[in-house]
Amino acid sequence: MKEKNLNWLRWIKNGQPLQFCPSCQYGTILRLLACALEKTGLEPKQVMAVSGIGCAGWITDRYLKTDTLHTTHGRPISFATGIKLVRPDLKVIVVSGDGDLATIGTNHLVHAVRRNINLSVFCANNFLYGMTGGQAGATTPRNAITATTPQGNPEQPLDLIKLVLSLGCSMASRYPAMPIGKSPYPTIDAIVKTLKHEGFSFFEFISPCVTHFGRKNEMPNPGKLKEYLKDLLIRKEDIASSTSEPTPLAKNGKLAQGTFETLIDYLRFTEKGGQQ
Amino acid sequence: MVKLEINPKLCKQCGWCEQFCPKKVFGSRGEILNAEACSKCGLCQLLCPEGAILFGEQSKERQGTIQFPACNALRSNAGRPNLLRQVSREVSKFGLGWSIQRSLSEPGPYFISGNGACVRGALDAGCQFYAGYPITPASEIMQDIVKKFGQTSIGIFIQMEDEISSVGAIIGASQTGVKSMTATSGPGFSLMQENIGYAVMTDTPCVIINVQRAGPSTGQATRPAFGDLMQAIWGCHGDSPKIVLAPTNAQECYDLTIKAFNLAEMYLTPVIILTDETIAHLRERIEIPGEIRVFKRVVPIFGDGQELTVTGSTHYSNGLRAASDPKAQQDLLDRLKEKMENIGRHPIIDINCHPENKVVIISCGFTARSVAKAVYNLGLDNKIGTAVIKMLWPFPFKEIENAVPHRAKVIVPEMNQGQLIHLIREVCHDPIPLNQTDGLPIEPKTIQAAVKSCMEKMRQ
Repeated sequence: MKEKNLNWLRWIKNGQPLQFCPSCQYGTILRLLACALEKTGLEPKQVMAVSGIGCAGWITDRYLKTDTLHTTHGRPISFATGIKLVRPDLKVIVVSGDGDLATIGTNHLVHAVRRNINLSVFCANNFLYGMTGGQAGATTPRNAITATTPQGNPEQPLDLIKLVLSLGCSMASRYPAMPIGKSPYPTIDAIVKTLKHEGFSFFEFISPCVTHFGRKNEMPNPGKLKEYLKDLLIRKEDIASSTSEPTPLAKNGKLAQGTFETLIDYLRFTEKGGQQ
Repeated sequence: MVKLEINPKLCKQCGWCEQFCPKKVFGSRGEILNAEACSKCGLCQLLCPEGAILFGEQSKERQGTIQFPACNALRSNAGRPNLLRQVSREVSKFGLGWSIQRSLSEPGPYFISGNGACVRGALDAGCQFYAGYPITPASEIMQDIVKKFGQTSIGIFIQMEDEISSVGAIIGASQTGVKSMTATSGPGFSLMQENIGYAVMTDTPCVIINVQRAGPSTGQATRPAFGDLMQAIWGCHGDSPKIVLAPTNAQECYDLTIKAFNLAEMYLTPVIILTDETIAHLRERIEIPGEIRVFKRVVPIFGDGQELTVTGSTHYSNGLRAASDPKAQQDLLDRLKEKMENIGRHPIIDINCHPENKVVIISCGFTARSVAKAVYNLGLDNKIGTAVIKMLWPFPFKEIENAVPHRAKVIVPEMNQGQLIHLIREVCHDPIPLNQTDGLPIEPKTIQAAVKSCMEKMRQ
């Protein structure tokens, strides 16, 4: 457990409580990021954090001890593109929410992947628009109850990992913010891999909003949420080793957890359940 | 025995610690139930969202108040001339602030279009970053600048996916220390508004050229108009004052583009240059001087290691977000207003008025040239005065009020349904509109006829 001895706390600004709801996992994302940044051996002055609007936009703005830019809704990737072009030596990370990066800002995400700009994009996916009161977004699961889908969400959610991989992204990971297994260290290792990757890299944190998503969908506390996540996420290794009849994950609303490098790699696990 | 503490000020009793602690040390409300069982794994310190669990010697870590570096305060005060002067003196030895630079192009006469002149001006002013999206009639600026960047290898160019991201990219680049610009036309300019407001809020210097075309919506892409005047001044939501310049010919496209970069860098504000399709595509003779006065930014930038905090939310002078503090909101808006007042002390306006003037024609943009020709054709010395406004915002209210004789009739010819006239009305009594919205420039004879009929009415 080398992480314990690392001085990762220096990446977090001291002395103020976080402005997130109780049970929100965004504070953990901040700490996982800090820990991973420390593990990469970077210095705070070499890192530039860009974020968008929404709860997730607050993860780095104000709390991460680097240069931070808190931009307009949906556009952090375009700002980050400008910064990266001028200072290729800076490690530019984008931390924002699913509504920001994948609903209003999907266009910029798509083109950043296409350009293969050397950005690390972290999407904190809370399944809806948290800050505005829990309205459904592009990543809201099917049949989930939100403020704007009181009878259940009729739309198909957007699979972000599949999206970026289909565009040619060479490193995309999906992990829960709170570990559902025994330890968070695989998540930190995946973040380090994402940060060290040359070219566009994407990381999706699954961190459902307890206040709006959890309470309306029968998981009002961390215990219930953890059970939900255990059911929702299937680890890449588990799919690979499973011998049962292959069922496409997307069909029963499940998500694959792990790091994927090609679309074929991802589809092999999600569509064919581990069979080549 | 491990010293395990929970900071009651930070703990929100969410209960995540109960879920992730492998030794079941915590209860469901963030209380320590079984401290002896703790195996010192450190998971709780890493995973507690609030950072409320303190562990061993790190207990002291989260004490004290947050310290923001002074550079943040410098950034948000840089629009104040006193501070600027003081800082400029200090940094002049590092080559920042005002300096005289050689122009990139050979000095001498050139025969180029307005768009070309904007590009030369931008390069001579030190523009090093261009992000854009193609749109008629502004595309030549993008094509020219990428060619020039390639020839001189001094700049960075990127063609973005839309105008929203074009402004995003130039703001990002500008905050990282390079002079940056983009160019567009009406439809793209509408898309840009949100991020232009962001640039105002975050004191970001950047230059946006709007080559106007006939609207609304797609309108006529190859026809001139001056219909974006109000949008350029008032387009963004909230009170977001910014500088708006309007050249009348290719030479001014060159001069005002340099001026735009200098003003942007000095006052840390976006500057909008309003040209139109006629100026943009008309080839004319311009004179490029050998030496140009340029201003280099004196405030900290990203990548300096100074922990800059830049946000589009209302913020204190140290950059810290202030989402609901009325004083912070008031102070910020006052500061932006003060910035504009300081800029307004140096208006850019050509006034050619005389106390005996019977008629004064106030115009801007390409129309000003038709006005000049009309006045020349009429040949009524001293009876007709003119004013050509080249800095539309901050608007030269005082200068116009002082220059225009009280008994003179004011005519405002415009290539729109009446936008400049609203501003003129604030200082002149009952100005006469002369609007033409057929997608063609206003011809001198139209203005001559308007002046004649006005004079006739006055005689009656």
